[in-house]
This record gives sequence, C-alpha cells and structure tokens, in this order.
Amino acid sequence: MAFFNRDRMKLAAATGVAAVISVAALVVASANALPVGDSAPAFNEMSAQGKEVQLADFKGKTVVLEWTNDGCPFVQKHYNSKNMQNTQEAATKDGAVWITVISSKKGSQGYSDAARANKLTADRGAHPDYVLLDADGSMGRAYGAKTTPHMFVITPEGKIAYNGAIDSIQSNSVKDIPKATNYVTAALASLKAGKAPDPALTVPYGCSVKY
Amino acid sequence: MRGIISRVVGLLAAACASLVAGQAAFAQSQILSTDAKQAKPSLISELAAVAPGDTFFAALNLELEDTWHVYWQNPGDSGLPPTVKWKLPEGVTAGPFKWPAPEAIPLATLMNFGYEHELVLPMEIKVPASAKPGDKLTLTGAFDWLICQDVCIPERAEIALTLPVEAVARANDADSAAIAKSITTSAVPLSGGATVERTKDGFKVAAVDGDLADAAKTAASIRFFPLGPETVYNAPQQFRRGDAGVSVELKASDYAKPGDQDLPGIIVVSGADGALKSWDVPAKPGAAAAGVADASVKSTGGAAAGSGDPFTIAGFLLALGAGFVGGMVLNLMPCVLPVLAVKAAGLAVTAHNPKESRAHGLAYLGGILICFAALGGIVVALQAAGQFAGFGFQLQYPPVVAFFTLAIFALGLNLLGVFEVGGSLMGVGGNLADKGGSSGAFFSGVLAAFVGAPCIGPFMAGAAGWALQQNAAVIITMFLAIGLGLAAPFVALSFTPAIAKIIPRPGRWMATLRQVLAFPMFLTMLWLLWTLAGQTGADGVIVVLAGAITVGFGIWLATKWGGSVPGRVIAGAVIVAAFLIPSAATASIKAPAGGETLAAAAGAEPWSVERVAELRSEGRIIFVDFTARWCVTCQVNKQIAIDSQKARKAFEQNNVAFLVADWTNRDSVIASALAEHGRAGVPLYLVYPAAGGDPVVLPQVLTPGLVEKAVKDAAGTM
Repeated sequence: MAFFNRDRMKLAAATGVAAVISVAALVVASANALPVGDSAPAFNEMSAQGKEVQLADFKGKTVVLEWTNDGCPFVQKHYNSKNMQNTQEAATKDGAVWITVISSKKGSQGYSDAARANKLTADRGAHPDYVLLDADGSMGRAYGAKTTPHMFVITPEGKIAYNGAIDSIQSNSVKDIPKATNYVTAALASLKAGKAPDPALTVPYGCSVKY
Repeated sequence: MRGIISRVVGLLAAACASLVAGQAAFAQSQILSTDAKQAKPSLISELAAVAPGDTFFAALNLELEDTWHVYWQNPGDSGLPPTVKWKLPEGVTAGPFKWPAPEAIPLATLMNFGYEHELVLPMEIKVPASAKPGDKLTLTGAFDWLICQDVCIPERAEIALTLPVEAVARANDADSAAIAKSITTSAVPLSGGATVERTKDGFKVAAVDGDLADAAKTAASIRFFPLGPETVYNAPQQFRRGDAGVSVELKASDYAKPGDQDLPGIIVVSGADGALKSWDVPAKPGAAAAGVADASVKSTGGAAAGSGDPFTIAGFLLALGAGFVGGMVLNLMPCVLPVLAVKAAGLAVTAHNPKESRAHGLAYLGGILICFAALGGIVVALQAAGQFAGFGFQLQYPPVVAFFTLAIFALGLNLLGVFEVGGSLMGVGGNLADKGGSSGAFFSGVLAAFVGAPCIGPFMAGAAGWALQQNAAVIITMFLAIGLGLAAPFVALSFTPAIAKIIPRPGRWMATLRQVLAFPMFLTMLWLLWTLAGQTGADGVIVVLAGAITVGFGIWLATKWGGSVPGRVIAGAVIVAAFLIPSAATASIKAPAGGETLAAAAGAEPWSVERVAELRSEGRIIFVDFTARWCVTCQVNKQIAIDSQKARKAFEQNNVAFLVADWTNRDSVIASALAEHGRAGVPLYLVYPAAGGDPVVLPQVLTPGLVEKAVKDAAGTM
C-alpha cells in the first residue's frame, strides 16, 4: 500500500513539475520579439547533415539565423533573385556561421526531412553552414520567429545583435531588392567595424512560420 | 437582290452601332490579365457615367474563397496589404485606399489583421473639369495582393475600368451600394481626439467621442488595431468606457521606444447585429480626458458589460427582493441538492436540541454569507481589472473544480463512515462540513454557496444581471441577498422547535441515513469530473482521480497511525499534497482540440454572433442554448425539455437552427452576449423569430411543451 502510494505521489509530483514546465513553456511561447542585447537562447537541434548543433558550438563566432520555408513567396523572392544565397556567401566568407532553420511542422508547407532539406540547399545553390530541422518549433518559439524569412544576428559573445527583416522594403516583388537596404549585411558590417548594428530591431515581413 | 443585301448589311450595321453605343453608355470593367485563383477580382465604380469635374469612388472588389484572407494596411505579424499602380488618363487622379474596418484573424501564436470572404477597397477618383462629354476615360490599375490561408499566395490582376463622360453623372446602383457598405465601416475622425500614456507594461490610449462611447456600450466586440508595431498584436486589450469616450490598455512590444510616443491606430466596434464601425485614433502623448474610463468594458474580442439600466432605489429594492426569492428557489435547483443532503443529516442530529439547532442554523447562514460576499468581492475585483465575470465564474477555473471534486470525495468518504472527525486530526477540506459542531455547519454553508452560486434560477436571473452592471456596493449587496435567500429555509427550520416532533429520536437509523447520503456526494463528484473533462480533457480527470486515490490513502494512514505525532504529520502532508498538487496541475492542462463539445454532443452548431446574423438573414428560426457543463440546471433542462421528442419534432418541422454557446470555460464573447440580455450567467435560452425582431427569452426552467410553444410562436409570427 505504501509503495503504491509512493508511486501515486511520484505521479502527482511529476504532474506538478510538468505543470511548472509547461507554464514556463507557455510564457516563452507567448513572449514577443527577442530584445536586442539579450543572450541568444541556447538550442540543440538536429541538422540536415545528421549532426546535433548547439549554439555553444559557435562561441567566438558571429552567427546568422535564417528562418525559411521554401513554399513561401517571400522566401522565394529572396532565393529566386539569389539575394539570400549572395548574402549567405558573403557572410560565411567573412567568417560568420550561417544557420538556416526550418520550423514548419510535419505536414505543413516547407516541412523538410534531412534528405529534402539537403536537396533544397543543392537545388537553390544555397550556402548555409547548417540547416536545422526544428519541426517541433521549439527553437522557433524560443527565438520568437514570426515570419519566413526572419533573421537574427548573434555576436561572438552570444548576444542578439540584430532581430528582424532581411531588408528594408516589405514586399514580395523581386524588383524591390536592388532598392532595399539588406539589414543582415549591414548588421554584419557594423559588428565587424566594432559598432552596434543600426537598425538592430526591425519588423520581420513574410509568411507566418508554420508552427 | 442587291437591295436585300444592302438592307441586311444596313440592319447589321445598325445593330452593331447600337451595341457599341449601348456598351459605351455604361462603365465597363475588363480584366486585362490576372493569375488570381483564390480571389475573384473586379474593379467597380459608384458611377455608370461621370460628369466633368466629378469626384467619386471606384473600388477593387475581391471575392475570396472560404478560409482565405487578405490584409489590412497593417497586416499584423505576417502578410502584406494590397497595392495598386494606376495608369490614368491625363488629368484624372486616384486617392489612397479607404480601408474598411478589418477583422483580427488569429493564426497559431500569431495575429493577422485583414478580411475574409470579401473585400471592397475604395479609392477616390477625380475627373478633370476639362473632360468632354462623349469622351471615354479608361482607368487601368495593376493590383497586387497577398492571399493567405495557412499558406500564402501572391496574386495580381491588371484591370481596366472604362467610363463614359456625360454632361450629368449617372449612378451604378449595385456597385455604389457595395462601395457605400464598405465606406460605412471605414474609420471616421474622433470628435475629441486621442491621447496615449505609458503604463507599467504598455500604453493606455484614450479616445474621446460620444458616438464611440455609445457604440461601446452595446458592442459585441471592440478592438484597437494599431498602425505600427509598438504593441503586442495578440495580447488581450482592456477596454473601459465613459460618457465621453473609451480607453484601452495595450501591451507594449519590443518595437516600442522607451518613453512617450505616438500610437496611431483605429478602434473597431462590432455591434450586436454584427455591423462594423471604426474610428481613426491618431493617439498623441498626453493625459487621458475625463469620462473615458467610468465603466468596465471587457477585454479583447470583448464588449460592453451590458446595456446598463439606470440605478434607482425602487429598482434596487425590487432587484434585492428578486435576488432573495431567487436564492430561496435555489434550494429547489438540482445543483444544491447534494448540500441539502448534508443539511438534512445535520438537522436530523440537532433537531432534538433547540439551542444547538439554532447555533448550527446561524453558522450555516454565516458560511453562506461569507462565501457569497467573497464571490461578490472577486467579481468586483475582476470587473475592476477589466474582465467580465458572471455567476459560476469560479467553476470556469479548472483548479477550483479539481479542488472541489476532492473535497466532495472526502466528504463522501466521511458520510460513508470511512473516517470520523470528532477528536481526530482531520482538518482539511470538505470533511469539515460534517464536523459535529458549528464549524461543520459553517462549512456546509460555504459548500452550499459554492455549488449554488453557479446556478441561475428563476427570479435571480434578471436581478443578478442587473446588479453586475452597477457599482461594487450594489454587486456585493446583491450577492448577500441571494445568499440570505439560499440560507433562509434551513435557518427557519433550525429555529422551529416543532420540527423535532416529526423527526425520530437519534438512533441507528441516522448512521444508515448518513451512509445513503454519501452517494449524492459521489454523484456530485461525477458531475464535477465531467465539467473538468470539458475543460482539461481526460488528462485533468486522471490527475484528479490520482489525487482522490491519494486522499483516500492519506485518510487510511490517518485512521491507522493517526495516534502518533509522526503518523499524523505524514498523513496530513499526504492529504494536503493530494489536494494541492492535482488542483495546481489542472491549471495548465488544456482540453485536446477536437474533443467533444457541448454543441457537438447536442447535435447543434456552435454559437457565434456571425452565425446568428447569417441564419437570420436566411430567415431561419434560431434556438440558442447558453449552457455550461457545470450548470446542472442546464443539463436537466436539456435532458427533460430540449431533447424531448416534442421539442425535437418542433425543431424539425419548423427548420429551427439549434445553436449552443458553451460557457464551461471563460469566454468573453459569450459573457458579453449574456450581459447584452441582462444576464450574469447560464442558463439562458433565446428563440429568434423567423420574421426578425428581438429574440424571445425563455424561463430558466424548461418543459417540453414550453419549448414547443416557443418554437411554434416563432414560426407563427411569419
């Protein structure tokens, strides 16, 4: 009887702990944009290359996060025009780590397993260092990723330096790209020059992340 | 032969000429190119023919596939608003879009602002005075829009609108009606301007306009749509109103700058009939004007807390009297029956000791009054916080239901004789309700108040609904009047020595009675678990049942080793944990989506303001059942009256649309609909006549014949 009860108590205690955790998770999920200057949330996600990738792996390096969904017209705008690939190439050549994140849940637009993600990278001629498969949306929610694309730049010290749109013109027209300021390129240049990016926080535009 | 040919040719030419002439006489909209699939685009015009110097509206009209939406000028967390590039004849100019009032479209954790079903997006066109009658003006617009469901598709259309110029303009009736309908919802200026102040975690915007204040009073919903990103789009909005205008508290996002700043947006009010109105709110930093925050209006999606009949002393006394009678009648409502069982047991014990009997009666009264006063105080506090709380609100919180379930379970065990209270260590939960002394009577009062308060019975409905729209003192007095009514019959009995004559002397029969009365307790537990199942799904029920097992175990420990101090401490800790942990755990368990709703269980459709408006436009009779799992009266009415063959046949024969509004969980839209009918809780039954007009409100206790008659009356008024 006592043993039986201990089990019940464990269940009850576990329920309590689960309650606390899920409340915490809800709080995280409902948080709005991640403030610039805050520590970037840690993550540990499986990459399309089949390797677990953590933020801590990149200490001392500037990291760019790019939320993507290949079916989204706004993502297509920046890939069909090669704008995203060019930005990736310039950033990685300059020593930054580029991480593309796919947070579409299974069955929704943009969802990719490793094989599909790798094929997309090859077909698009993209240059990410890693493509992370975040189908449970945990990383996307931790960062408050709202749209595809949604961009983050993280300093070598692990602080958020830029959070927002890829560029300054909210549209899905390729024609606007040459007229727009690429905020990620600008933020990386500022960091390299030892300055804080300006703007550091913009409103991302695009399709909703398919959580 | 030649003559015939020439005549035929002549006729053909004349026919062609008249066709061309006929075409030229009307505005012509032609799609030059488009890739649109989810939207059907067209360009419409108020005028069939324009006169030189005219100003008129043309509009992009998008008919959207169901479940797809397009965006407002601020699309929210994702999306893009429509755009246009014009090619216009010399001298013709086109103004910016005149945006109709948008809807809030939630999408997982995000919020979009836009339009579903149809968008009519007007623009003002100016015709130069130099235009010549007989000419034709062709306006060509290249429109781009993003249309989304879950996925998004960019669509475009190039549309040419050709308008004949005539000396006197001619209206296009159908199109001008559609455009006028759109424009009546677009934002109008505030008569008294708008201010914004920073608050602890956001902004407080005050908008001064008498019409807006009036509209807020009877609104089905009210919402601030910001033009910029400075607020969290999907955060609740706390609205208040006064005679001069309304104010709203908004949560700041990280895009807000520190300190004072402009916060432009619009306020959209949806009327009880579903019609939208909006006001332009160009809020500038400054102190709020007076008269914009006197009464609480509910939070997002929210609405006015009712029509608010004016306060008069006569009305107050009448309402208090109704509340008292309503409280007495509560004793006959199914929800209070289990407590009556406990009281009956108690009365049987004390009937032969008048002094003790009186003391218990007063203690019971005290328990009820304190509990009702506390509930009243919480309602007042919630209202002050801008939330709308009605009767039964306590059972809308799963932890309360869970705790209460366990208390009832313990009480049942006690009645069954599993444990005795006198002199033992037991001191938690419902077992106190059966404690020998006055404290037991006190707690049975608390219990009665708790189960009784969610029930709205006859007499009480109007009185409680009225009181909730008055000030704090009136609300609490009303709660006390109802409590007094609830307690009155038993207090009267306990002061009646004659009662002893009809109750046999204490003996073995009493133990048997107590045991029999345990079973109403376990049935009550079943009712609460069913309520919890609706709120948290099976998970919450399992957690509480695990708690019940642990409660049982703790009680067993106490009866076994309650004699020693460590035994007592361990048993006490187990019991406290068994109550608190599952109760706390249910707070975070959500019912799984797709679980059976009350509407589905009833073979009905879920209620919404929009659905009612839609069905009314079809001329259907509508029966609306405002219900909740925790409302026992509602369940009894449903079993006995609504589900009766008579009622169902009447529904079928008269093609009645049966809608269910399930208030088991907190729902501000349902709360506002209740308030609109002067109610503070469920049940509420409405029958909308086929011919239109106000709905008929049925009594709180239904019979099959009553439902049948109401439906027939509703049909007969055609």
